[in-house]
Amino acid sequence: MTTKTMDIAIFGSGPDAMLLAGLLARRHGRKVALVRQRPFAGQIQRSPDLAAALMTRPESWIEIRRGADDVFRLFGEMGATASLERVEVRFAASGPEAAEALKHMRHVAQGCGWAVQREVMDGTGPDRYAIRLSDVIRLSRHRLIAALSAWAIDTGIMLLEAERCTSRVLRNGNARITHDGVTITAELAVLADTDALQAHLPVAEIERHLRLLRGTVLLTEPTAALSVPVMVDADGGMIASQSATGAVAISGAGSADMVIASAARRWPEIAGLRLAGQAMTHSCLHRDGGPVFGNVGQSGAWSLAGLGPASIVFMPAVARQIAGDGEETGNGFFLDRGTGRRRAPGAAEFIPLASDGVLT
Amino acid sequence: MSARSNRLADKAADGLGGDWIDRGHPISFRLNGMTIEGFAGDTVLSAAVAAGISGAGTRGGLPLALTPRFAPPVRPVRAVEGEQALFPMQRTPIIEGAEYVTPGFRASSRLVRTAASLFGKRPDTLGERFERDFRLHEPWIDQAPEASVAVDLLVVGAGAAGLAAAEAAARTGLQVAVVERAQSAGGAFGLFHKANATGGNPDRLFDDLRGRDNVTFFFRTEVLRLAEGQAVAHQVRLDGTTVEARLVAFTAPRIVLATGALERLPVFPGNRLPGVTGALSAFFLAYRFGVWPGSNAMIATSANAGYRLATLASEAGVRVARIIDPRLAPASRLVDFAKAASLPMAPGITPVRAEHSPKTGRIAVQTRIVNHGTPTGDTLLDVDRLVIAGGWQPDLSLWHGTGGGARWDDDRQQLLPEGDVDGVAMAGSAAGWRDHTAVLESARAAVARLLGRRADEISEPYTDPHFETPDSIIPPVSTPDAVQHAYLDGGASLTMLGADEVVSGLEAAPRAISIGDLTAHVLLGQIDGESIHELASERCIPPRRLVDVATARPAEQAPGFAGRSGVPHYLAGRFGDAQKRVAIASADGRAFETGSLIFANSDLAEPTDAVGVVTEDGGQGKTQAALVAIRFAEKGARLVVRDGASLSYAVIESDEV
Repeated sequence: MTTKTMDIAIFGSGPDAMLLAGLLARRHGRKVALVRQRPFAGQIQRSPDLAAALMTRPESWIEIRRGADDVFRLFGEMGATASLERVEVRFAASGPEAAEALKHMRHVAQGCGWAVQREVMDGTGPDRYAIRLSDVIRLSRHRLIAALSAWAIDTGIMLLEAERCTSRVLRNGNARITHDGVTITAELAVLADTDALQAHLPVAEIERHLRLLRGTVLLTEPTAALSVPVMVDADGGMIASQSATGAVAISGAGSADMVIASAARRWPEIAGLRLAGQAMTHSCLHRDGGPVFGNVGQSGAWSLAGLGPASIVFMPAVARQIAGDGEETGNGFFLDRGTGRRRAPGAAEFIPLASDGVLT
Repeated sequence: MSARSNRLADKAADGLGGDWIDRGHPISFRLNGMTIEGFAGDTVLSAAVAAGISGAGTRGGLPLALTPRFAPPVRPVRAVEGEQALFPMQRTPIIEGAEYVTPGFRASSRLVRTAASLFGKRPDTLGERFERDFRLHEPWIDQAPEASVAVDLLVVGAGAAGLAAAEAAARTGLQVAVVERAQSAGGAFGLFHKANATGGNPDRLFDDLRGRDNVTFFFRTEVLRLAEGQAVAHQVRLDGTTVEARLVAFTAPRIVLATGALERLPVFPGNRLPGVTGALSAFFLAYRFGVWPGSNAMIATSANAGYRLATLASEAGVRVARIIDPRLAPASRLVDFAKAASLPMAPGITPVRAEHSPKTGRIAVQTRIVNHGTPTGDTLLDVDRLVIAGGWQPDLSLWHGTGGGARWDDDRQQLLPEGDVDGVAMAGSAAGWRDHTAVLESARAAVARLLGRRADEISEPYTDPHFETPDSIIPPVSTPDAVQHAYLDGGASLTMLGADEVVSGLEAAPRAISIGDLTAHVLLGQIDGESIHELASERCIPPRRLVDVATARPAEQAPGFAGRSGVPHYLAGRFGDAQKRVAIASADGRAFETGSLIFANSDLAEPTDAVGVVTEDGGQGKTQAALVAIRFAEKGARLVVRDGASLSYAVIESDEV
């Protein structure tokens, strides 16, 4: 049997994993294998890719800004600027706790240089408090994916279809993959999405450190332009994002019935739209609601979880962190967000919802 | 059989003729201004087709057939205007003196139709217009359930598999509900087997089950959606002389899906013209209601059941002009029966186009010889009716709604269910089983699995293709001139060849599509078999709109909030290892917004330099709670509060809250 040795094996199927693999290969000179589910045309995007998220820590907003600038430049180099657009994002809360979190988020984001406007409430709608962020970068995944794939493949990464692989991640973080009679070993496994975390982390470690959330993404038929292209429901964590086609993708926690009812109640302007598709989703976050970068418990694999819709903009910094190159070594932001969690400053973020039946 | 009344003679012992109608009980009603004569037991649809209405309307200027798989809803004229009053034609029984209209019907059309009727020219269409952005109007899909039924086990579908599952469950003492779209049980068994076949005969199973106390049937009831042990279904009920409809929520910890197989529509221009119909639809109308439009027919089939339908039709008095089959030498006992009846057969022939004559209502069918995949030669045949049997596809739409998976079977060219869903099991032809014994065994195995018992192995007997040629597909016709005239499926999606290519359409103008649309695209080579199951599970969903039907449980707040003592969990460690809640007051009497950041002095403005945050709103001049780093939490300390661009001074009035 032939054996190949790689530096890093990344397990993950979204553009985050693809970008991370390409960055590690191109910028950091690593030999990278990417194990992913085979993508298919017409797949419903699980969450929008935004340079913003429901986050309350200033360090998070600073990292999002840095990452967005980097990703913006990178996609320009790829010739994929058409996949980037600047949109307004509306965050709204109807409950007191979510409103409180949003108020804090407004001050933090504004202090970090974001253009944030507070909306005046007239008391007629469901919202108690709402803010709008302007000039937020949103990626059009359908436009991005071709350019990103070509760029990543050009970096020389080894692309492997998960369906045709037998993979094992060892406790020390090494990966061993068998694909078409070839054994590929890698010094470090990176688990870049929830499927990968569930497949390769010990159940006990997941239960100790992480929360798995069951959710649904809905896709509607096209409709006229919404008042704001991206709407975030801070109470339930739902996000509605309207693409250039007019279709609205709504992601939220819980079953399809729950998300349909909640979205119709929350956003009257999309109520009544006909569904064009739906898919179940799983997501994963730290028990304190914050993101996870690094080892989960005793596992030697590098894990990514709970990054929210801004996940892709973290990838350049994650690549530097994994590679141990330059300024990122010892970056407090990442050290604070391993599952070990340094005690201060904390890494907890606002958790929008944990309804019955949502946690798995 | 009269030209206007498309009824076959009364039902023969094992044949077509209508076993759900009572010919001794005629009923008259009006539809779109036309008087329709039917019989007790008819649906609005079966009576309309029997009365010569073959078209639902037009799309792109071409007529579109009225079929059991595609019909507009109807509204009683005297009903209060509103969506609540719409009924599905296929499931609505006729009642004496009722008057219905379809959604696009206008009063002005009534005068034209009445005048035409006086001259003996009754329109043969419902006159609806189904333009490009058309979506079948089914307002009941989003309504809230009015009634609820709780049982131990729910069976969806009352065909052979559904009845066998109900029997197996009932024997264990479970309370069972059986939900069936049609007005009685039996499914499509008669299209494949003699009615007097022994062992799992649906009629006998149904008779047995009707006598049981622990089995309840819900007919004219269609399950719309299914999730987490609950099925929401739309039920049409005949209450004396009134037809009513309601949504019923069935709660069951175990659900058997015996939803059968869908008929695959062969793709060629003119495949949904009035006069062109699927074999299953033709069988259903003829067997249950004795309805068969026209006096002669061509059967185009790549399935052996097409030969049985031809034999049954011939026995019922229909002249079978020809049976064409793209398979070169089909062999089956059903083929033998058709041969014995001297029906004209043409193997190796496939339909390539149908054209409808508005004057005569007849169908001109163009066919070609299939010779190793290369079509050569043309023939044209003029018939009253073209019946097409293009094979089957398990109905997985409800299964997909539960999160069930699927896989593409290259040999069978079918999408088959795969994987497990808690509390849900597939049975019968919906699960991909073909042989009758296997269908019954799969139903019993489904119940056993749901009860946590060991299920017997299901055996689908192997039949040598020399004796039983497997069902195949009618090759799709995708020539440029076929675009705009060939549909991909027989249902409500109305996806046309080329005009709405699935893959580009999914991204450019997303809409729900049918499994038939997808499987047609695989045959056309536009989607590969490896991704179809993923596309199907995401896009082939029951019709649904974003409506708050109040079925969702109210969201509960995250554990992080429950019983918190004034400090939100996301502020944990925000200002260092030690932080404290204090009471602050503005030096100038103003109120600070919650979330405003607190700094040690006015030179600092970066959020990372903040030493505290206001945690509670307060009125003007009142003290407010704040969270600050312990080293600044001294009574009397003077700090700076920033609210956007504005800056104020605050004093810690108390170091405890």
